[in-house]
Amino acid sequence: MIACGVSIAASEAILVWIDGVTRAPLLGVAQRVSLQDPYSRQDLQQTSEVLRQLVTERKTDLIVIRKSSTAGKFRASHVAYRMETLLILAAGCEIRFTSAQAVASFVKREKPALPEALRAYQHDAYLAALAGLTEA
Amino acid sequence: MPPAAIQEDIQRLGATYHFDGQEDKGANGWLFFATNRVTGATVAIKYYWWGDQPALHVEPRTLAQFNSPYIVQILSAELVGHGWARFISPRYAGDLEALVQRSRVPLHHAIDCASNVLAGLNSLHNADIVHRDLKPANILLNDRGIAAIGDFGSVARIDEVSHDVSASQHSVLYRPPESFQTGRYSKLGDLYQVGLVLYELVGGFLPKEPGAWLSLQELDQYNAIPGDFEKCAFIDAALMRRITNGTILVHASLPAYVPRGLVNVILQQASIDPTDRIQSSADFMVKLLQLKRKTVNWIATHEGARGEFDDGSVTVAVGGSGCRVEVQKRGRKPRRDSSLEANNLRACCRLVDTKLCSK
Repeated sequence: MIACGVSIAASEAILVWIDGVTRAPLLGVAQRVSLQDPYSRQDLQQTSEVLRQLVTERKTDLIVIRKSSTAGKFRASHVAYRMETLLILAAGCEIRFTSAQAVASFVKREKPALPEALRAYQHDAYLAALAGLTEA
Repeated sequence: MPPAAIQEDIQRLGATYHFDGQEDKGANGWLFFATNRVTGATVAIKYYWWGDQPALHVEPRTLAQFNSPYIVQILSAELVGHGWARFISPRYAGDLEALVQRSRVPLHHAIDCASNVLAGLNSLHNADIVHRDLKPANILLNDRGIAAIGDFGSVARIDEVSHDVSASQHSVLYRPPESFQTGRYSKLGDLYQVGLVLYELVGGFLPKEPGAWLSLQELDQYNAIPGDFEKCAFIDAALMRRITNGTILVHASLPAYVPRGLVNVILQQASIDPTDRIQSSADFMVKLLQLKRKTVNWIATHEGARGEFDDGSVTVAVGGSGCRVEVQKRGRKPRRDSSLEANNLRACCRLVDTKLCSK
């Protein structure tokens, strides 16, 4: 089983793929996809197509999206919600959402080691994938 | 003149289709264009020899597997008799070869076409199929400018263990270096060919005349060869040397407005070592999308280059004496912007891309 963890920051989605059994990240396949102009039909279509291609090519079975915050000082911009929508529409597989609190509690409980192969900005997506897998 | 079996079939189809023309390009079978008298749809009707060998139905069988806007669709297929078969597919407005020969291609359209091809290729590769003959003539364009992969005469299913197949002998100019060295072809070979197609689309020099690939000394040797077959073999050998040396692309021939990032991606895809290339069509698409967003939609003009935003809100003209840069916002008069000017066209285009696309 291959799971894809997604964290969305501003207009950019960071995607990290992991092996569902070993829980190790698939090396060299992480990607970041951005939505430059959320009001451009062409931009939305192209971003959606790219996401669809990535998800199908990596033979993804599960996508876990780290939920964007809807209220408070750190609430996400509308672009983040559009990105979530694009992912939902583009994915031909199961989708789960996990909250930042659920990820934090998973980290506290399981204390997963962060692979050295991953960059710092990919950690959130990786942890989201792990947290989403444990929810099964 | 087509064989009698095909002529009979055309007569029979005449009740439903009005035949408007015939294609002379390509050597495999016979290709006709027609309009359906009922629906008004324009179609391409291809006759090919199968001679009781089901393996020769590879093209229609492969096309029938996919339902992608980036792969030519198949409407129907039938056996005609006397060893001939035909399949019908929608008629496209043109192909990339004609587009490149006819006019300069705007930078964003070139990138979009390459992305369309990569999307089609992704469907093929996910089914473990390689095309093996991607070149501008085999990529069709519909009337909305969307590119679709056609001509599936060379497709093959890759081996599950070795992840490759034996190399095709088609179109020497587009064959990847590893296919000469090892005789094998993998998905990375298709990605090499997309790199070459993109190179041509953005204005790179890739001549089709055999003589263009020979040095003066080689040209003398070539002219002294008596037979056509030997001449072809000589040209193929010269091409193979350039491909395997990695000197098939002349990146200096690319227009000045092509951004450095795109030049690097093209060169990366054309590298001799397949492991140096971008490893999948989806990753290649992501890269192209990122690069497209960092550039204005440039096109070459007599004076230099003209670029515009995709929504048409800003147009930039670069060129003339001293590389003058004029910026025109929608509904306003063009105004000179000296902050975007530099010593040469390339530097001006970089400045415009950097300053205008980051806003």
